[in-house]
Amino acid sequence: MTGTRVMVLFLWRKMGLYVLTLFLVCLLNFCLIHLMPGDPLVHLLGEEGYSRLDSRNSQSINALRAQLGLDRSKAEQFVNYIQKVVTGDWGWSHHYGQPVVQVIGRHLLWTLILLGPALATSILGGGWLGAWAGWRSRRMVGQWPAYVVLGLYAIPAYCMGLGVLMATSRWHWMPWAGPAGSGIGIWNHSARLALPLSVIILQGAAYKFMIMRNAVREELDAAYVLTALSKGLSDRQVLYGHILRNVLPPFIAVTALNIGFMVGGTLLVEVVFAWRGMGTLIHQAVIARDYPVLSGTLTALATSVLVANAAADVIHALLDPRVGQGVALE
Amino acid sequence: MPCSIRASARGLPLSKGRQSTQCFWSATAVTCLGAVLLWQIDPAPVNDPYLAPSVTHLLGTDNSGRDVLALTARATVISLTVGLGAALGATLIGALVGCLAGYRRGVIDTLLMRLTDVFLLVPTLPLVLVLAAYLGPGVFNAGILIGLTAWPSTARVIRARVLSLRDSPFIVNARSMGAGSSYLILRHILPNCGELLLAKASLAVAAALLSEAGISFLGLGDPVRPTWGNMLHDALSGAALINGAWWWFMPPLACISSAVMVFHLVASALGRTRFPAGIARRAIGAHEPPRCDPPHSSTQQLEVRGLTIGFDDATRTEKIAVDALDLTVSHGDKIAIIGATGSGKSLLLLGLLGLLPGDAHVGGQIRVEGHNLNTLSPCQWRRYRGTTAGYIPQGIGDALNPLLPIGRQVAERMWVHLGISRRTALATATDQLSAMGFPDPARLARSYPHQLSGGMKQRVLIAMALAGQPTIVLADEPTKGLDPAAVGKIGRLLTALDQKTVLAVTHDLGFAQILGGRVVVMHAGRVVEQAPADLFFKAPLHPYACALLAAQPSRGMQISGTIPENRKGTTENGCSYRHRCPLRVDACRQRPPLFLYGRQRVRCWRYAT
Amino acid sequence: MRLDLDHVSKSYRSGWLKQFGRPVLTCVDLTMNPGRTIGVTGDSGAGKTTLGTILSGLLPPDSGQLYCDGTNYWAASKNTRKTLGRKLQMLFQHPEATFDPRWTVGQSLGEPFKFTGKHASAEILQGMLAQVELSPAVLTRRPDQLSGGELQRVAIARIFALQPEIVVLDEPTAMLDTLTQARIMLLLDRIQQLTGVGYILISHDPALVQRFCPSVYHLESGRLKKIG
Repeated sequence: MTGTRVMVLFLWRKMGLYVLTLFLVCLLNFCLIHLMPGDPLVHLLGEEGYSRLDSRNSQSINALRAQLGLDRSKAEQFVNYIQKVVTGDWGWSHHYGQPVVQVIGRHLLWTLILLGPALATSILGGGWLGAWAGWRSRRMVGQWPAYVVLGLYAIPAYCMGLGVLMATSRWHWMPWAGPAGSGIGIWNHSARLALPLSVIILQGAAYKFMIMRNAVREELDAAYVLTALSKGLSDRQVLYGHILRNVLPPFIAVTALNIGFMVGGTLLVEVVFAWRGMGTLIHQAVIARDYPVLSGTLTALATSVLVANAAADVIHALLDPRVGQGVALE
Repeated sequence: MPCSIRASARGLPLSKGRQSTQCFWSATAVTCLGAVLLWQIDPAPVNDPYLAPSVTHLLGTDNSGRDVLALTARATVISLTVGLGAALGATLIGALVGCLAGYRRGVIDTLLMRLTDVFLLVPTLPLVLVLAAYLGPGVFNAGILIGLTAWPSTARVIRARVLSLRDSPFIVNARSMGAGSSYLILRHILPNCGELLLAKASLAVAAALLSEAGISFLGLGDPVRPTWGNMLHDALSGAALINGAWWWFMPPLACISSAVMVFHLVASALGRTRFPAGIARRAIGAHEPPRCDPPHSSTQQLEVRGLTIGFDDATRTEKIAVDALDLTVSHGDKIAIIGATGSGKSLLLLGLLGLLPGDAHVGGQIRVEGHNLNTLSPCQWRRYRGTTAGYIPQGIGDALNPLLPIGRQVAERMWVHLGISRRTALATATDQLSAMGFPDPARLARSYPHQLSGGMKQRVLIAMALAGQPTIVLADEPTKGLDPAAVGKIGRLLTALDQKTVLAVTHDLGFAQILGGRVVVMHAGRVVEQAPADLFFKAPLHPYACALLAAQPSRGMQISGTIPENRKGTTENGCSYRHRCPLRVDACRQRPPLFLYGRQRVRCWRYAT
Repeated sequence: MRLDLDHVSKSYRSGWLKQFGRPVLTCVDLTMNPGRTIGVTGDSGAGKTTLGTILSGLLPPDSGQLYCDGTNYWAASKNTRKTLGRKLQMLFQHPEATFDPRWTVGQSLGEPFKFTGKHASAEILQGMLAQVELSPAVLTRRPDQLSGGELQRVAIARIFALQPEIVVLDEPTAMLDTLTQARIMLLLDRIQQLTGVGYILISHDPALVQRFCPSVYHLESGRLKKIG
């Protein structure tokens, strides 16, 4: 087997895992709506919608039931459901009065505006700083940054946001809160973006910093570091040319696993800053018991995380030649 | 390996298992006591909403007039209970899954691992939120949900540990004695996962606290009981921001943050398995005042005078690993430095390179081609390491960077120090590899270390050292772990280096004989014999050297004398070998100097002139 | 005990889909009579350790049989395997990995007795240590406080507590220096003279094998050949 073929097989296997995960998420959504106690129709229409329909006449309810396929067997319904999900019909939101896909699409965009730059900045910034801190960590002076950063990491992003809001609530000239969809001009948008973005970046970078610092610190004892130093290479050459090469693959793997956590943190930050992303969507959907939207958000967020993980896998495979050789890494 | 030398030179770490278990139980006792005490505080509503902190209400009141301090106290108990409970559940499930998967392997392993992967991929907070929305609010629901979603990372880590333990010799041994699976798991595998489990449990508590706070913050927490997240939620919806009631926000915020921090610190304290040793490599004499010596002639290539290297062991006493060593080497000499582990020979090489561990105490002087190494700047040191000296590390282990191709690693020295382009360097590297006897150097240059055998890796390391055209070649145990054919090859390669001085540290007497040249025997950090190789192997003088040669299988494997006790490094004044020497006399209580005896030098009173 | 290997083969599969198969042993035949010492040499990575693990009954071969005194080991019942397996022991190359790092030497030494139903009193343990020339003070130490040579002696003491009939020595002195190597080998020799145990010495040092083994086999490219 040639190297590229094995790498392709490795990625293929990972894709299989992702498809399985999505399938299980859809299964979960289906089970929740259809197997929870109570009439599934109530979950789909919402209490208000159901009682409104019920008060008119029971025939339209039965017609609706047949139309939605609720009178067929569970297996058939599930297959139907999967088909619909794949083709983009994720149901109807009774709270927003729109197809779920539209509602989610609108909100997901705003979340990605926060999440994308936050991920990139925290990985680059946190990783780079962490590498230097790890290199210097064995000296006595090198211990304190770790504690400071741990303190930063321990404060959840939304708490940081609350604290900052509290502190700056007197500064009325800064448009902190307020729906991100309204307002005009680049300045408005950027200003509203600044605080939530900084808070998410700070927390995310703190985590990456710690991971990278610990990883580099562990590598300092490795034999090849002594070899590199014995060749007369400078600190920078050893750190970037050798240590980082070895530390990046596991760092990327850990970061990929952390993306789900960052997504969660972003949702909470959005609620604090009233940012019209998935966080406020979930918040409102929970209050309104809009189950189709809730299921849809889970599917959408799971998909985003899986896409990010797939990208990380590709990068990992490119960086680590042992993957292409079929050497077992576990 | 420098790290193991360092660790063994200073005494050995005590078992952490007992310490951490004791800490764990005392922490649990304190927590329970604290919880009972805190529960006594009752946050009954008083009629003054939004009161700022004052003497009567230390943390002020909220919008229904409840005392924030009392609320926080009660919330602390509930949040911690949920967090600890969820983490306990998650750790137990994770340990079970990890153990099963790691021990059984096969289909069970694959299934469980796929399940773990799936759970790890799905973002936790949205999952728990959706589930909580269906199951209804409530603090115990939240706890159960968090516990059910937090076990995967523990499972993964435990599985990795079980996998590595499963194949270790002591488990295999127990199995061959007749041990069954349950015995092995309960008595050997799980206890050795103990610290890991505690560390992961600690992290799980932190994660559970964060999850619970997040859920409650979004309104899915318990509507009645206060938790930290609930307080934040109430504060936000109770218009605390607008009213500037920061005293409502800060306590739960501070509690969450400090709890998370504490548990992370605990986890990292449990997980730390190594001594925080210094990597900052020190050059010889960097902090010693320069000695006043008469100018030396520069016909000698290398002169070592009074080199002393010491470490502080666990009890803070200094153990000397290299004791006032003198050595003179001329151009083109081939020197084999023989000694057992702990004789300080590897440290000698590191000292010649200026790459001793940062916590080493160093004294003495080294001159290379007349230049005093004490006076070199860091830049000059690098140049010296890259071009004058060529260090061949031990091939066993990771001396080659596993993620870089061989050609690049061999060529690196050239483009950094010799100022040639990368392309030329790579071409020269391929030539070097071909000179080492490799039939297909171009293909080898593109390969990676894991594709090479031990002997091949050693030859690559030699090529790497020779790439900078050094005048001194320093080889650290170049034949460790190699079979006789490979040993012969390495020996011939090194003997063929005509113009270069070779200092090879080895415990392999056969290799020393192949190398020829001069033999230097070290014992407990001192040179005890120096002789030309042919003389040495025919008739060694020092009792230790005699014992060494006699103990070789090819010479009949004779031993005499008592069993040596394990003593690394010495703080003694007498002859270092006198405890085991069958020929010792009273005079041996004094440290003997190096006597000249024909063409040999020996540190033994028997040859006193 | 008489040991026979009949047409034994073993290969290792690796890779994600187990697509890489590396044959380690191919049609290996070996006969060992009671109380003898045979040597197995070969280059590093040639499969000597695999052969040793199969010979001590710890690893089932892909094909072929292992006979102990005529009994087919892997076809026998679990109980028979347990009883036979106790008579086949192995001494490992890395003495520091042969002990549970959390147990004291005393606990590790006493472990074999748990499976034979006898009780290991302090006198018995001290006696075992005396046999391998170690002082009783070692009983309370942990593995990381002992040197390689000392650990190997404790390992020898533990193995012989079960009174094995064949011991596979897998490069027992590769990690030890010359003097300690000599002492360990002479100790093993003495024990053999006392108990009549059979040894299979696996080593890449031909001089060592020459000195101790009247018959020598060489493992190359998966095939075993008698050379001495």
